[in-house]
Amino acid sequence: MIIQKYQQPVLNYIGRMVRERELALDFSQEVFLKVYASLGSYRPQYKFSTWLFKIASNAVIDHWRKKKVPTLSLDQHPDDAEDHCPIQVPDENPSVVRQFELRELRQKIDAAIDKLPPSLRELFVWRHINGLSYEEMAEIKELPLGTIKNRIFQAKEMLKRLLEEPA
Amino acid sequence: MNCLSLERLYACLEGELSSAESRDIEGHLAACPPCRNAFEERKRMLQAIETLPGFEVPPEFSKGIIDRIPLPAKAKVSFVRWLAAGVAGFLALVAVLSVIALATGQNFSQFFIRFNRGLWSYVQEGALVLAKFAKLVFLFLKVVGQILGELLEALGVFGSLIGPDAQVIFICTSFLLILAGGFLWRRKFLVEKNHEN
Repeated sequence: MIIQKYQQPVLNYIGRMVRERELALDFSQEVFLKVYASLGSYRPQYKFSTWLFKIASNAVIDHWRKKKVPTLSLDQHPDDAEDHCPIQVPDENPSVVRQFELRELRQKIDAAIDKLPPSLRELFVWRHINGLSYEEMAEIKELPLGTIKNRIFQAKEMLKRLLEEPA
Repeated sequence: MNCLSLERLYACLEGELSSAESRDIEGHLAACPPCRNAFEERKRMLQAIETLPGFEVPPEFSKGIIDRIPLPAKAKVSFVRWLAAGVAGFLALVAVLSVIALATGQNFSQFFIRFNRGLWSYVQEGALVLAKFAKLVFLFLKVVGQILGELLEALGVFGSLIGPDAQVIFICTSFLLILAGGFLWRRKFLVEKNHEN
């Protein structure tokens, strides 16, 4: 069943985009209803997940437009943090300390992802949380492959800088 | 020795390079501490991202969607379609009768005449049954009318026996009882309907 198969990836995506649990649940349900209503326009030569995420992305953009959510431009970076300390997480063995550090790092990553500009966050979530390929993302956003790769690179580096910022 | 670009480090971490390219990078990392450090930092970040827990899906999530899917509206059949269906049915009947006539080796006109006679006798019998049914309904209504007449007469006698105050009380009580009965029946009906849904 479509819902069972895609509810987790859609919720992961929308949850990270709208950042409120209840809103994300409502929103995801709306997206599935839109998908159901538009099934007639789906063309099988495209991957279903690509089509579904395109609908979800359009819904999120509409939501932002209605809410007038401020978005950063792709050229706008947070403060340069070249001199910040790098993350010091030992990688040798999965000790208790390592587990604790990993959990802490996850929390920091969660907070840092929320700080990414929406346009970069969307691509980053698709790539590193939903596991979409660069080609799929280029198709969804109707952008050249190089642009997508470049934006995801920017997102990762921005994320790294945000992680290095002192709490 | 030129240091590696961050794009190449990410490409290596995400397994997008050929094995030869990956080996080259590994060789460089072994000899270049700044690149190795940059590589390890990014590797740890991507590993931590991969282990981020997913969004918790409530058990009733999919049911909520299915419940919100609008039911398809009942299709209205137009008069033309009804007419077309009637004509098609008639033609099908003629075709079946023709096949029967052919299969039994009978003359077409005689076969249709016999069929029409048979059909007419059924119509006559049906009309007789309908007439008897109508007569029964008429008799039933007549009996109900008589009973109601008797009841009204009895009420008149009853009214003459009691005083005007008692008459008002009786009428009001009857009215309230009828209202309460109607309310209870409606409530029971609604509860049953909700249970069915």
